[in-house]
Amino acid sequence: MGSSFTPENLIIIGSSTGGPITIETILEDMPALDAAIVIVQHLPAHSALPFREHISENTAMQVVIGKNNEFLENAKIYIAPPEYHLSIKNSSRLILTKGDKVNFVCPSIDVAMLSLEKDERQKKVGIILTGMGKDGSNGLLHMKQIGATTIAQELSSCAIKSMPQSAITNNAADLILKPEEIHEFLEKFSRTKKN
Amino acid sequence: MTEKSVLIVDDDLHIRLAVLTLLNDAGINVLTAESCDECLKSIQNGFSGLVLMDIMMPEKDGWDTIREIIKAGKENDVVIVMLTAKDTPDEKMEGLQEYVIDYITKPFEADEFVRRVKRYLKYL
Repeated sequence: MGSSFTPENLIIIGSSTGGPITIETILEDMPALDAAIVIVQHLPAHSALPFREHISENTAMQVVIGKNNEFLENAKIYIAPPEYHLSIKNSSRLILTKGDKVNFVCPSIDVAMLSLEKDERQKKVGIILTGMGKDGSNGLLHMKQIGATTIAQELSSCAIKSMPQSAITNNAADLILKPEEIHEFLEKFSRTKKN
Repeated sequence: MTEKSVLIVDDDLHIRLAVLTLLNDAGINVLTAESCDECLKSIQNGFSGLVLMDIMMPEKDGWDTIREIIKAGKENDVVIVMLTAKDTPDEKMEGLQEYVIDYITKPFEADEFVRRVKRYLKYL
């Protein structure tokens, strides 16, 4: 579970329909970054482990299904477990809760992103990828307001545009990037871990 | 039924045959259904796998069919991908996004389509 530690860099990726393939593209051949990455993607319960395994096979980062009260670590990717809302406490710890769907989904991206607080010790990036509806739009705006760099997926590269479109309309996105460009951005954002 | 399979749900015979041929050629086992009722019958009879779901079908459309799958408690037996000519989903998708892992628009690029189908078969 790890001990109390605040990662210097935190990246939150939120996605919905079309997201798993897009996330696999973004993280393919990703070196071990000096960052914790949290993925909020609703999945059928039986699909979470295969999704984790595939990402794990194609990146140098360790990939896990997040656990309640788990402390975030660098060079590690945390996938929100199905049917739990995920939030982050003190920029460093995962909190999982059962609850009603938010924006028709559980886990909800808004729940995760809105749980974040400004923290001078930590640089943050928020990313909204393909998906139906507006989940993540308010959360991404909140991240922008607390100093994070915010990204929406470029619309022509989306299976469904409405989530990133909603974030863009909400003036929540600093950057609009294709999946391959998001990969490049993340590599530059978090210097590659030395060991 | 132990082998992971694909169930094509589409009222258009030409689409069913084209997709079936493409996936068979890639070594993937395929079943077809031309309606919501046929889809449900296959799932009730033990189909477990990837469902490629059209949206625009007479009587019950693709969204209605997903609701019927959920109502039957079979949503955990399948992974659902929409395969449709509609480039933008309508409001009937709202509330069902949790059950739809991808949305592929026809016409599609064959190699990329087969790659995605093979990926999603591993999500089961």
